[in-house]
Amino acid sequence: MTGLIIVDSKDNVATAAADIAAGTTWQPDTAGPPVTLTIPCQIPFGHKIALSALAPGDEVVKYGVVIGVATDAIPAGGHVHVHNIASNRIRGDLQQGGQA
Amino acid sequence: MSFDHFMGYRRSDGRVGIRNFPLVIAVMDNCNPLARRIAGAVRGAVPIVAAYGRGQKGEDQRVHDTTLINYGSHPNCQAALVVGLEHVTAERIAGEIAKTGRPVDWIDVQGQGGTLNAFADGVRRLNALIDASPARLERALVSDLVIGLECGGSDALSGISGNAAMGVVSDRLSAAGATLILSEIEEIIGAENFLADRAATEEVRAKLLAAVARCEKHADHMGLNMAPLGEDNILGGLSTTEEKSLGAIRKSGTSPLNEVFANGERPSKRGVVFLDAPAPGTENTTALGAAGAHMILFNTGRGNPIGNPVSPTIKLTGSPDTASRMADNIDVDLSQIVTEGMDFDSAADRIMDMMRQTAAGRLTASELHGDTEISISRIDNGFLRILAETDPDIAALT
Repeated sequence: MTGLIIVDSKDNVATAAADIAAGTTWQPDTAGPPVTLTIPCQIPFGHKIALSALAPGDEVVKYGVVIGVATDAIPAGGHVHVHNIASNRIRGDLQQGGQA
Repeated sequence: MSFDHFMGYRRSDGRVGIRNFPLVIAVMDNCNPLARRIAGAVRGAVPIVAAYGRGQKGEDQRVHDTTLINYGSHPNCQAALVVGLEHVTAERIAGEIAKTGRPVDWIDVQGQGGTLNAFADGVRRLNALIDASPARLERALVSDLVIGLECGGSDALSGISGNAAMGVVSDRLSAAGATLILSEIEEIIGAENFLADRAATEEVRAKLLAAVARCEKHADHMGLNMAPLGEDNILGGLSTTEEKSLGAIRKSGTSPLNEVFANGERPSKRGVVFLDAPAPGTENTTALGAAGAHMILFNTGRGNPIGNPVSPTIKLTGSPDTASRMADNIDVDLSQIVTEGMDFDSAADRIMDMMRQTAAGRLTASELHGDTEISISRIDNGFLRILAETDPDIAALT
């Protein structure tokens, strides 16, 4: 299935390449332990799902790089977006997620 | 490799063009209608007309002037006629173009005694320039090429489809010795450290980070919230500015970043270089053209028709919807990456085949439609003065 795209092996999110219906099950065809995810809610084209459960404060990784942190608990297969993750980058704040 | 050489027009400065455009360059906007009229009377001639130009000050004048001079000496330019209101500016711009060895002449409306005389004399002078510039095609290598990298109207799939395929092209051409220009300073924010890790030297790293810092200070100075994501980005699934910027820089591949240079200037290094110019499509492609890009790869998610009049602009999309909805404007449809799992190497092959055809004279969609425009950035000179006082370290590097 090409409905979800994982960019980098370090990523903990995947991007929907098509609208995905609630209840869809999916097994990533990438290296690593075989897992089957059930996607609990509808995911629009272009949006992301969690590949594993995330707790508040966990880093969200896409492109093999941290793109933000979870602000809420996100189940495996759950929708990952502005309602439950936040940027490490605040405009005008040059701190880079704790890095110099 | 599907594209390793091409037949091009060798110029006296050693550069090689993939087009042989006679250009009519208006040095200020009050001459734009005349420049368009002269170009319209000479088959194949291209008008270079931009807003402003009169009474420019400081950095605005530098960017405006060097942009026009770099178009007049662009490798795709056969010869240039400079059109001015008065002789001082026209002669100055034409003089700088002449130093590059490109055939050039100038007229001024005041000196010619009005529009009609200037039109007739302008057409005669442009024809004379063309007559005196015999075309000579030579075999050239892709290492002679400068390629602009652009994305616009991005959606959440841009970074993992079209930009990723463009990244493979960048890696291949960088390895072959070509020059790839990444730009769009606002679209670096949030990914600058990731990009800076590719900097070839400490100086390149410092200049890149300073350019981003200046961009953010400018937003602060204006009291604006530089919203990193638009509503359409969020609806499309982009969640953070890091995610958007990481997707944008992906079009430059993975090879070292060898230089950071200013808007209006040309790169001095090969491989991947960064042009510190604003992101909007017309403004950025204008800067890429002035930097000497022979052609521009422009990935669009939601669709954007614009191209550059001198640097043929190849439109890519990874969006199945845009590929069908805006088929008129798309040169390379890469939507099979998401619909059928087409791999990036195959996608890059498609892009390079279109680059080969474009270099051989195939018109891009924006050339075919005449969807080409020039827009030269204007700078807030007051902000630059304040930045020099408050953040001299940043100001010194940008």
